[in-house]
Amino acid sequence: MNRIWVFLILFCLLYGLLRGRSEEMIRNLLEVPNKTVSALLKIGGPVIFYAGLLEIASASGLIKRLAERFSFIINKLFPTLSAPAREHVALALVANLLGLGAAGTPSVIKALKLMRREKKEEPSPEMARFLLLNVACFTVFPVTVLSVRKIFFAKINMELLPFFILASFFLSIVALLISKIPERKNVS
Amino acid sequence: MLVNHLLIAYIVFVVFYGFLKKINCFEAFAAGVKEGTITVVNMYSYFLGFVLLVNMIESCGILADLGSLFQRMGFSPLVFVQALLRPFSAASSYALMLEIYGSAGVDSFSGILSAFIHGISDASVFIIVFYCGAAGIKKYSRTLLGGIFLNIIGFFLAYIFALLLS
Repeated sequence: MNRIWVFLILFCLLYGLLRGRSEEMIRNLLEVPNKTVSALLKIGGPVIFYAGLLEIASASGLIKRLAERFSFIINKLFPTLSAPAREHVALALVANLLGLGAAGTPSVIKALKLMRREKKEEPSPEMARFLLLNVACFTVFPVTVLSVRKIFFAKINMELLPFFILASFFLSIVALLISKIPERKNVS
Repeated sequence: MLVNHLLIAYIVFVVFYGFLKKINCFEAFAAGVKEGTITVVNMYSYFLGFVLLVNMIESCGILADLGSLFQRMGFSPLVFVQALLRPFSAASSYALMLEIYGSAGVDSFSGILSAFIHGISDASVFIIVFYCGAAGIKKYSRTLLGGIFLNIIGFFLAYIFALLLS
C-alpha cells in the first residue's frame, strides 16, 4: 500500500500541475481534514453503537448459538480457527448476507483480531480468505441501489435483483478460489 | 425500508435475549462501546490517508480526461470514472451513480451499468486497508491484489449483465 499511495499522490500532483489545476487542488486539499472528521463520524458512529450491541450478544451467548448453526460451513472454510474467532466470523458473514453493513463491521474487526494469534505482520491464508469473502459477498440484497433507483422512477428495477444475487454468488466462489493460491505457495 | 426494519429487529432481539439470559445488558453495552470507540479512533489515521488520496485523484482532473477518451464506447464517460473510483471509495461511486442517473437516465444502458458497478463490486482497497489497519496487519499486498482482481471481474460481470438487460 505504501508504494501505491505515494505513487498515486505524486502522480496526481504532477498531473494537476501540468494541467494547470493547482488552485482547485489546493482548495480541495485544505478541505481534507474537515471532510475526514465528518466522514469518520458518519461511518464510525454506527460502528461504535453496534460494537456495544455486539458485546451484549456475545455476553448472552447469542453469538455462540448462531455459530453452532453455521458451523458446518465455517468449519469447512476456516478449519483451524479458535472457538471465539469462529463465532465472530459466523456473525460477520451473516451480517454481510443480510446486507446490514455497519452492524457487521465491529464483528469483522473483532474476528480479525482474534484470528491474529501471534504477532505476525502478514495475514494468514484464512484471514485473507475472510477478507476477500467480505469484499465479494457484500451485496446479496443491494438495498441502497434499488431504493435510489426507485426515487428516479426506474422502470427496470426488480429485474436487476437476480443478477445481483448471481454476481455475488459467483464472486464469492472466485474469492475462495484465489484465496487458495497463497496457501499453496506456503506449502511448496 | 426493509433494511431499517431488519436493523430494529436485530437491536430489539439482542437486547431482549440478553435480558432473558439475565446478564447485565447495560454494562455489557458500555464495555462494547468503549472498545468500539478505541477501534474507531485508531482507524482515523488510515482514514485520513484515504480521504487525501481520493481527494487528489478527484481534483487533479485525470478522471475527466480519461473519461473523454471513452466517449465513443456507447456509454456515458462518467461510468468509466465511477469504475476507476469504486475500489477506493463507495461514497464517490454513489455520487457519480446519481449524476449518471440524472444525465443519462436510470433505465439507459449507462444507468443500468452504473447500478451494477456500484452494487456488484465493493470498495475492496478501502475495506482491506481499513480492516488490516484495525487488526494491526501490515503486509497485505497479496490480499489487496486479490481484492482488485475481484473488482475487475465484477466490472466484467456488470458490463455483460447490462448488455443482457438493455
